Amino acid sequence: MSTEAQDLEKLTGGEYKYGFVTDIETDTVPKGLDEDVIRLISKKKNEPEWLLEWRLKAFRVWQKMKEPTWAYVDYPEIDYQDISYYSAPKVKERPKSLDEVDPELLATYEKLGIPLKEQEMLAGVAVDAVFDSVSVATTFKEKLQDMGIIFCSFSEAVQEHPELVKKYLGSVVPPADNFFAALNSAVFTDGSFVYIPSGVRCPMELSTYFRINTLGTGQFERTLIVAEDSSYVSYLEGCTAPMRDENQLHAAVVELVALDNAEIKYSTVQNWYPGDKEGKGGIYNFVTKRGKCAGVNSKISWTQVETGSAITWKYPSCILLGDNSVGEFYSVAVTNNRQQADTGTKMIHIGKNTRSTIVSKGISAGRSQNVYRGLVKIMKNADGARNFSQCDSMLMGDKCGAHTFPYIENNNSTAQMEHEATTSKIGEDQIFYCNQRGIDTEDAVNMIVNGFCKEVFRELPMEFAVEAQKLLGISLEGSVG
Amino acid sequence: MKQDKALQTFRTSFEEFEKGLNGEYSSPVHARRRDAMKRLSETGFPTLRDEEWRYTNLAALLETEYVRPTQKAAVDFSAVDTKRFLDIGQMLRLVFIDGVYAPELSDLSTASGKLRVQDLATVINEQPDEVLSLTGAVDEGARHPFTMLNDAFTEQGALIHVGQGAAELPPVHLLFLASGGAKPLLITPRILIRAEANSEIDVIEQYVALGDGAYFTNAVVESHVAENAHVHHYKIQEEGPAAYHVAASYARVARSGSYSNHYFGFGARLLRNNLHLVLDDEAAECTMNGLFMPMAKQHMDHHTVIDHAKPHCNSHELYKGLLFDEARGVFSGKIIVRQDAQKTDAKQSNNNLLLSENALVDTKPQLEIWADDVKCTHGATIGRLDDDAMFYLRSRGLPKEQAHSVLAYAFASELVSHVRLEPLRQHLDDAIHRRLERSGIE
Repeated sequence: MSTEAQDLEKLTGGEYKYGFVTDIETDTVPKGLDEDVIRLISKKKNEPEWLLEWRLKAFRVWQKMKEPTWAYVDYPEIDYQDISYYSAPKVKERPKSLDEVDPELLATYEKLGIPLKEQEMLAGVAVDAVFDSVSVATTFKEKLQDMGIIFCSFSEAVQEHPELVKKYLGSVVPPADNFFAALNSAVFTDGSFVYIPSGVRCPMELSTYFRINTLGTGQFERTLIVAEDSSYVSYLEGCTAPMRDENQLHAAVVELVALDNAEIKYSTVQNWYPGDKEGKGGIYNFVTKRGKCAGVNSKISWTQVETGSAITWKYPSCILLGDNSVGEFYSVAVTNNRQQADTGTKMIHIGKNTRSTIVSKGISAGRSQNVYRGLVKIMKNADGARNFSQCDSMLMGDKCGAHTFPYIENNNSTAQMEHEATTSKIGEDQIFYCNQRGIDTEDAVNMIVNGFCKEVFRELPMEFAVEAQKLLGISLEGSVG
Repeated sequence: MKQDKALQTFRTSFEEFEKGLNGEYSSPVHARRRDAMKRLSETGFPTLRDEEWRYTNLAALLETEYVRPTQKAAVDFSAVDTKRFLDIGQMLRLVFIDGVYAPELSDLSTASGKLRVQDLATVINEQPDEVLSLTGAVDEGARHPFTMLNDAFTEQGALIHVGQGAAELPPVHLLFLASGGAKPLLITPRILIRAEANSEIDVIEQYVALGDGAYFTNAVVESHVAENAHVHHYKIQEEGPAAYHVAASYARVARSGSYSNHYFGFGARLLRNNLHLVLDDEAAECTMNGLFMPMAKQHMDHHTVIDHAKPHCNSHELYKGLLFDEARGVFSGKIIVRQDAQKTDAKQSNNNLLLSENALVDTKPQLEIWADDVKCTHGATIGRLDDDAMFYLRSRGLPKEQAHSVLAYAFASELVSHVRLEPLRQHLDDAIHRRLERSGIE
């Protein structure tokens, strides 16, 4: 092995830094899944009848569905009866303020570097921290309430705004959409709900930190964001998870609805436990994310930085229904050791003069596999549609793989579409250039990788961009990242 | 299901085929045929649910019942002037009428000891082992159901053997004439090419229809390119408006060898062209160029696979589509770079020009890369003629139709410029011009 390869091995061999299990009593439903479990979840959450019916319908569809196998990922068969579908921290009453929150829980956040109190005061970010499946602390709620913005946990929304939930739930990702979405629809426990009323520009970045904690519970989050006419919201989602050996399934569903002239910006930094060097343990992240630009001139923008999870399988998509609507997808996916990522986007152009941009950067190191899979579809009536896609892959080490599978389907002659992809490694001449100027190899690689991802990082909100760069560094351990 | 019914029909005609074989029944070539039929029966024909066939509906193709051509063609072709189809000076010509070799129209007078060109039926009779050694250029697993169908009915076709060090040879022209009569025929040519070390050859494969009737051409070409040998393979598709054409070309290239495939698609109602190439040793090279110009309701589907199995290999791929009327085009190109194939340089582009409101294109350029020290790029575009360029030409007094034609020709001609035979370039240029005239771009 050459010295370069050895360096790479050393540099990319980093262990997960955020691994620990918090010891908090949790209220967990026995393992297994049948209609009774769904009824139990629904009852525990005190849900209205229609939602229970909705769940049961999804469950019945799910039972008839087969787990998809087309993705470029490899994992042992999941036993869906061996998962506990509900887990909530045992808190008798919902806390009114941070003082009432279990101090140990708060300490967990401190360890993760998310000082909730500090953030509340200094950062100006409203954090809806999800600890396993139930929201325990929601900040800045009142301030937002004054503006008519609803930002709460999903279960709260079901209780307090059932008409909104009923109207939009499943309107973008129908329960029968795919295997994991159906599963989520049947058993989702909590998540976030955001509603921005007409003409309101949300003054702060809304943010949720997810934590998966109880051993052996899958987490099924449901997020629904609705932006009314001429409103704007930027939503951040970030996650870290404790180290454990058992694979954990995470099948979330995120739905975005943007009405006339509305804009939604959804940013994700995902850093769940990727498993150890041999790929043992680690989170399975099978997510369905989709946004619907329902109104004219609406815009939905997805930005994601994926560094964690043993397996990532997600395609944040945009349905560009309204005329002149815009869809964007910016992604950095980093895989190391034995990680597998099959990610990309779908842009469905239906309205006239719809535009979409796709920028995807994949970095694979170690023995990982990184796949970009995307679909751009221009429907018959989407006159003047425009798409630009760029997918770049960077390979570090000779045992990893980078694959690109774009699907471009065009039914309209006035559409203009471009797709570009490149695959390369960090050039020895680039490293040499840096070394020559006194920058050591570690810093040089770091710099080059950050430059490679800059287009995407630029799209992230400031607070996140810093974290993302840090994460990239940790994922590839210091210098290679 | 249509797939099952079609399979049943093909099985029946295979049984009839077997009955007429007499002595050949026990030959190893026939054992291979039977084996292929068996495998086809197990696999069945693809449907839209198969990833590789999702853009091409085979219903119409499979619904038609085909008969195998009899030894005597229904039409008298003896008066046909074969030069009419392609006249590029001195060359070896093999003519097939409805898939059956027609020695009276063929011209093998310029064959030499270094270049052996024979019709396949004779070779199967005389040297079955040679036929077997040349089939299966790539792994059996890469053979799709229609190749199996051709495997099962392998009888007619050509064998081209280029001796060691042979170069400066006249091109070989394989002309497939279809009568396109009332009865839909099943035509299954098989072309086997072996280029020994340090040799160079041009092979032109041309499909022409004389009538408008429906028939099904199911062709397979297998090329074996030895060390430092160069094979230039041209395919000109000018079949009739009711013809179905499903073809596959397989090639394996040895050290420092090169294989180039130049494809020009004009004809057929439904066309599917598969290319599968393995760069099997260091410094091997390949070029895949294609131009397709479907009009009316034509459907043209192109699937290419370039497998970089060894280090230091280069590949260049350029496919362009010009689509008129309600035509539909598909391009799916895959580049695989194996784990050991370091220093690979692969380029792939697919550009499509939609010249009508109802034309449709699906493209799927794919990279599958398992090695790190590589340079791989792909690009795909879909669009219409550039408004600025149009304005430029119009402002200089060109009528709209002519301006269109100039721009469309400029787009297409790049592919012609890569053809190294000058007279063939001329032929292709004419074909493109005829196409542009006939289409009457809006």
